[in-house]
Amino acid sequence: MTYKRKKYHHGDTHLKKRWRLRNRKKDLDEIDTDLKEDNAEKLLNQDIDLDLPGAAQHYCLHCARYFIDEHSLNEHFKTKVHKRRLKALELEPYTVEESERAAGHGNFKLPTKRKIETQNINKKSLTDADGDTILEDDIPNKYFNECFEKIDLVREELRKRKCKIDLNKIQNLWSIYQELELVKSNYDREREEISKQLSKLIKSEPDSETTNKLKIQNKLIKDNLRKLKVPLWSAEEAAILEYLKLPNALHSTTPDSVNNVFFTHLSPPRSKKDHLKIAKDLNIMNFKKNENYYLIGDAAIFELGAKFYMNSMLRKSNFVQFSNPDFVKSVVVEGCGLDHTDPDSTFILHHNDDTKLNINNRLHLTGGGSLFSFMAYYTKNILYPKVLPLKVFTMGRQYVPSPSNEDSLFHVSQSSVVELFSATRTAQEMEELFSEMIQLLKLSYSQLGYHFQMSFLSADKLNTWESSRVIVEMYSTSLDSYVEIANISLSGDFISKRLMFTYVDNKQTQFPHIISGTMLNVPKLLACVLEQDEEFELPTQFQVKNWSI
Amino acid sequence: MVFYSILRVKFLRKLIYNRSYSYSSFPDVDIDYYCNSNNFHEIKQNIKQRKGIGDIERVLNVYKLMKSTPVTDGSYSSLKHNLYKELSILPNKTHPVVQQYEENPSVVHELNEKKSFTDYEPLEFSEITRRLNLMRTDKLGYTCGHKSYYFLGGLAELEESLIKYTISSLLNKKFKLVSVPDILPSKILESCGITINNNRTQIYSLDPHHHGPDLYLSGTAEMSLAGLLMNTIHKKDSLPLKLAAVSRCYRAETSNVIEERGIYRVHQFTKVEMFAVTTPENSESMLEYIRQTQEELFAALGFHMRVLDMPPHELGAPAYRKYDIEAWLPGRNMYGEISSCSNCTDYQSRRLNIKFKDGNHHGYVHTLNGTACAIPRMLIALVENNQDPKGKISIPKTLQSFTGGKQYIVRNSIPDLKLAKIKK
Repeated sequence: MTYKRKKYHHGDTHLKKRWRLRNRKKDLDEIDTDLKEDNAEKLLNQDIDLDLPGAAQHYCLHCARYFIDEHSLNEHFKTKVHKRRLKALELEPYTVEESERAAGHGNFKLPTKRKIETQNINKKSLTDADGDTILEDDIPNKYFNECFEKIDLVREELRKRKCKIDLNKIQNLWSIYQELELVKSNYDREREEISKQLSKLIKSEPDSETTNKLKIQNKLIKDNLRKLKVPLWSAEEAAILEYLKLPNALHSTTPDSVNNVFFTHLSPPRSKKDHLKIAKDLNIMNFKKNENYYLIGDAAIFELGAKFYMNSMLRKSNFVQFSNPDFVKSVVVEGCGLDHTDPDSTFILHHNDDTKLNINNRLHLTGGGSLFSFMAYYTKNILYPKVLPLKVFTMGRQYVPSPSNEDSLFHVSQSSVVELFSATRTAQEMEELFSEMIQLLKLSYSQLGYHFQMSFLSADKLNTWESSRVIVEMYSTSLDSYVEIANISLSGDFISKRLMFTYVDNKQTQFPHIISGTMLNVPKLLACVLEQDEEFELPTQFQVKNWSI
Repeated sequence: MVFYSILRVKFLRKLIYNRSYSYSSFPDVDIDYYCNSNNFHEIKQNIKQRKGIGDIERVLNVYKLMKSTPVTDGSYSSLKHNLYKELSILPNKTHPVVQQYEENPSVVHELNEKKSFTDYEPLEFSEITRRLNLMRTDKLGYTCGHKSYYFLGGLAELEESLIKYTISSLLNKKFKLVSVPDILPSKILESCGITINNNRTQIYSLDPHHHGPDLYLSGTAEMSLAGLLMNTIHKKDSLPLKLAAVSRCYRAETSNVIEERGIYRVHQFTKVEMFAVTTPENSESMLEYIRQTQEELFAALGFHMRVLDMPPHELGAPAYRKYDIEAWLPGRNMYGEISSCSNCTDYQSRRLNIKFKDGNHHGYVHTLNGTACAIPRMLIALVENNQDPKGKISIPKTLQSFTGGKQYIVRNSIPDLKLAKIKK
């Protein structure tokens, strides 16, 4: 083929593709029927269809187009294409009746014009700094009002937690936002009135003084509204960010300032021993520093055996086993109520990709045996209500930056753990499961034959996301105090709201209540067992011969 | 940048408790061998055959230059530094038998019969697990990062029973169990023959601004175990030393090759590793022993596999000889590597300063390592070979005592998930 001939067909395929039947979009009269309320509702709430753009979740009714996400849909509303379409739809479609009238049946009627408006854009939702939605509801108002209604209670709880959040600041921020919102709605109303008057006047006296005056007024208000936009947004964001820092509500079991011990098994060891020295003498540990230690021989068997023992206890009570990945993204860390930029709460991985570093989207090493890893599984997911309560567990690593300089197994940054996780429908169901789990802990640890005690942790020691925590403590003779070796925490719907973990009941979106906990922390347990009065030996339950049946 | 300057304060504080290890500054590489011009052709041929990096000509040039400069000269130390840098990237020697192989590995032998699937087409691991809801790999990029996976129910239990089975067998063989750290300083990694500090690194590291400059995630327990033995001297009669460890392994690289889809090559997985320290005379027999141990462990699980002696270009820099075991994966209709074992002779021990003592004679030990059980690949092999047309997976007899007598893995009771419909 000569080069010249090739040139004659430039653009052909491009046009042909456009005219193919499969690319045919809806006609205006079809869209007109879509605009009827029933149809419109159906189209705007379509089921998930993975073959369509954005799984058919972002649909523009007037243009009959799917968009990949909310952002592009909103951008589309601002385009000329969309506005032209709205204009085109204003005229009532041509009908058989109209054609008959034109042919002499009946009287001529001017086609009616309608006012077409862009479909109801999003209801407001709470977003955090990195722009992902974390609380989903019609109005953030509800949360703030709820919070301010019982403001004394909230203030009291903050005091108990010894938390330094300033409630007045939140209230101030919120009132600033509301003031701005009020100004905005006033402007909106004014503008509407002016445009009403204008539309009346503009036909009768297009160049009169009042018309011109109104035009200028309208322009002024428009400008003011535009100027208001930025402060309004930042006021909203500031208020919401502060609000999100508020800790979870306290549970009735949480004592005020002193731990409430409710169960004690056997009596504490008396001899003064140091686990590091004993382990060194027995040659079962090589402790270099908190970030770097080795368990050797019996201590390593202890680690595996303890995990296998706890696993079998959990399987007996119908928990389902998981095996989790060790990395989570910043969203999950933040959603679980921790500061994802704080290197003391999680290990942050080095970003050696070519892509630009975004501090809100990094990888964190938390270990599979952590609440984060379970939440990463359930984030943005819907459950069927019949599967609740959910009872799962995993064995794995847990990585926490070492909280202290002091060398000991109590402060190591890497632990082998057994972590459990549970989601329930209601607060009531959560309480029942909670007491069931406490019984399970009691049973599992009593069988080992060491002294331990169980207590409710006091409010000031709780994490922000917890509303109550039960801990198992063993006595460390080297520290001369009790050490927490296992825990179970209630967090209600605090985390599930932030990470959009939901279930549907009677067509209503509900947030499950979450219980989570570290059932076994091997290094801490090992340290306490080494400091017992008796010589160290592997508990029978942990021995290799008991791994199989 | 504003962000980092704020954090500099924290970084300084962190440095205080990142106490450094004490190292000898230069690894004791065999200079007499590498810098002897008589060995020039042998070494050059070896590098070429292994398609390895390193430039022996440059090493010799720097060496000559260094010899001709007096020790007191200012440039001497920088020359020495240069020389050791060049020396340390040279690969290990290669076993004479292996040198004869061309491009392809030689099959040592095959174990177990290939299971025949005459009446139905065997399915692939991902398809089987999807049908039984045993694994989730989709839509996790947003919360856990690329190529993450969760094992659910029966599959997680199978993982646990594999660890139990492997460890109790190894303990019977008098291996010493060690629990190792997964976060290591760079020195140990480099001594094991891993190149770090380049852009396309295979190793994850912790953020140097937040957690101190020198912390990496271990890619295999071999590195951590080598770190345990660093700077130690062993009595000759206490050798051979046989260690085993269960650990998490983190690897930054993955591939987009179609054969390696699914969980065949992943960023993080659990692995049981064997590690042996021997005297130089015994390292070759120890390699055979490790290979035999692997064969015994895997053969009892019933699937077909073949043992390969790997050709020079497949060897990593530290390896002297390497055996791979490949299992037959009927769903993929191919062999997949499930384990390898290699003899590193004195390559690692010279860099880590691990010695043995025989009377007054001191010498470098030989180190060997081998996989005892790499969970994801082992699960692929087990599930694909033991699938049932009716949709369940039978558990091999050997593992049944570790799964509490369970004979089959059936559909999991963990509910399917539905993607949240995000209405805003």
